Amino acid sequence: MGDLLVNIKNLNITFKTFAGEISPVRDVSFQLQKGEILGIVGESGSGKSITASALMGLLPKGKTIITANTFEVMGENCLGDTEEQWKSIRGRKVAMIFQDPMTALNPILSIETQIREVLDLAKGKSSYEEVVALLRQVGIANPESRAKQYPHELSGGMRQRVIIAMALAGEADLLLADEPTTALDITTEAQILKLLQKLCKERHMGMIFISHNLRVVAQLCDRVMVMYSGKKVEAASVFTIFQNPQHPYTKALLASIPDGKGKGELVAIEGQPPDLNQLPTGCVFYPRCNTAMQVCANQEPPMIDVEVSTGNSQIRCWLPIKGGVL
Amino acid sequence: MSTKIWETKGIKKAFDIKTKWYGGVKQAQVLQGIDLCQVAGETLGIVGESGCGKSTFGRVLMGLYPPTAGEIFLHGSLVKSDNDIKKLRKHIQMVFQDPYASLNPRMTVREILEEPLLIQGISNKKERKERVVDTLEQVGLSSMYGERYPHEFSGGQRQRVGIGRALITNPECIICDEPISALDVSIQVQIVSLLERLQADKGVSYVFISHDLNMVRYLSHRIAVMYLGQIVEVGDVQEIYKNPKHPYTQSLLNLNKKIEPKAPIGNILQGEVPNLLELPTGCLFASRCPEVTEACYSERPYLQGNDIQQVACFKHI
Repeated sequence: MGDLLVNIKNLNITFKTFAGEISPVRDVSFQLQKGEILGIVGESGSGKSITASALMGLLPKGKTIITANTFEVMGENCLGDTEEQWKSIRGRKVAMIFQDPMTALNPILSIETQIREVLDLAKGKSSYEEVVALLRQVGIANPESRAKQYPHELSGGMRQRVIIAMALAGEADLLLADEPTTALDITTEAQILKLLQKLCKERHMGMIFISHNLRVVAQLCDRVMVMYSGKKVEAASVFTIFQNPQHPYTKALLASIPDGKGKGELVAIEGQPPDLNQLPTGCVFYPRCNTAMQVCANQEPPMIDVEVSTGNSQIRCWLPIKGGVL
Repeated sequence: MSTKIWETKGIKKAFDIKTKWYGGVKQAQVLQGIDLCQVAGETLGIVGESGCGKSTFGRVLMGLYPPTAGEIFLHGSLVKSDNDIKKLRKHIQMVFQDPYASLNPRMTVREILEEPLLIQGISNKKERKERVVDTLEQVGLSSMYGERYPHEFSGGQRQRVGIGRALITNPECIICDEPISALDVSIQVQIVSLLERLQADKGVSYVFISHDLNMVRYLSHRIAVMYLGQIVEVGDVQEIYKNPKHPYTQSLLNLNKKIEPKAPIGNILQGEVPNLLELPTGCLFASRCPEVTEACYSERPYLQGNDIQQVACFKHI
């Protein structure tokens, strides 16, 4: 499979906890092509970050059970890989950008040392010049002196740039960005987004962009997967998701954003996401869904394809199957 | 003209920053003289990037930080003594950003809600109990939750407790310092709807401090845009969103367009933000302003305009 960076089918992730086993990700399938940006949208606890961590082999071994029918990263089956095998993938083939640029860097090492560490791992050698070149690529002014500085001397946006530089150091083809701009101001956010967009285009990288900021996802992504309580509930092109949403959760999510809406037009989704220990039988969203039917409470809806004017949409919902009839 | 609940005149706040370990102290000028007021029943939105002083202003207004200079008026009379501040807090209350950190984990919800009443000197136990039950109901929590501890609640429920604590003294104004930014999208709207309902029922005013420009537009009647401790534009929310005059407001709104697939990312502000320890004498925004002129570097512009919209920019003076 030449251009398929990620191919995941029926991924289940289960954690062993003191209170028993919980499964924050259940039956999730998705693919990512080269040069494509896939957005994963969902509330906290919906399993989006855990899915990304699984692609980097970052979930704690021994406490996690990962099963999948297909689990291919860069065309290779990675299910059951050992720590050693993951080390050859991390940084070199897959790189990750984390949410909080304040804690993702080591405070007692200089920027140069930290970037050289990645270079050493990836290529076995590194130089100050390479570090400076990388910093310049991510738009840091005065890279020569910045390289000698420590994380606390940089602003939040600058630190996030350093982390992006580290992600680029190994020349990975796949970038996992887990809420990379959530901790940043709107003006800094725009800078980082432009940078990510540019790098993806120039290097023909694939990116999985995790966020709960729908405006940013709409601007950046080609395809979007909406997750709710560990399930993929809708996946479609960015145009379908935002102009023609099909799943009641996606619709409710868009209705709950004050995107230029007038007074009284904002509609809240009542209730809370379900507890992973006490998942509802049937559809995960049915307790909060305003179009729920009897069947939703009893039976889990299958994943189906719906044809809409803006392209195909995959949704997990009974509504189109049962035609909206109770 | 409705009455002003509070008014501030020339509020300045500076924090001492130790620049050298052997005693070099510099002052970070966080607020550069804030003139604002609020009329009854209105929501005043304060927006700006982190570090612009919007939370500091909220805290000064609550009497949590003493201002370095300037005056606060409550119902037209100057707030000067500690006693005045205590009186002020009966009328102005606050909801904090982090619902996990702003509730004492060792107090039950009933104790948390009762505390402001005790401080305000309401000694009748029965009355306090009634008001706690009433308030829980108003914020959408069951009265049996009173004996539970904060850790037993979700983020949204905790924020409801925080709102209840602010509401229980029947204040005229509640300062909401980023009350929803720590919550999930679907829970955010629940809290916003609650704030809206309370305003409709009780006529309470809000100071809504946030960086979510869309939410501020939705909730507010008037907004103040802050940059580095100065209000650069203030006025009617619809007017400002339709016709922003200050280049900073313009660039913020430009970045915050409507949700649209594949919409281009707005133009980015170039230039560095000035250091709070060494602020320039001219316009604070000059270093990043796309329309900067010679005059902007030598003199600082102050708010000018009419009741509907005021802007601190030489372009409009």
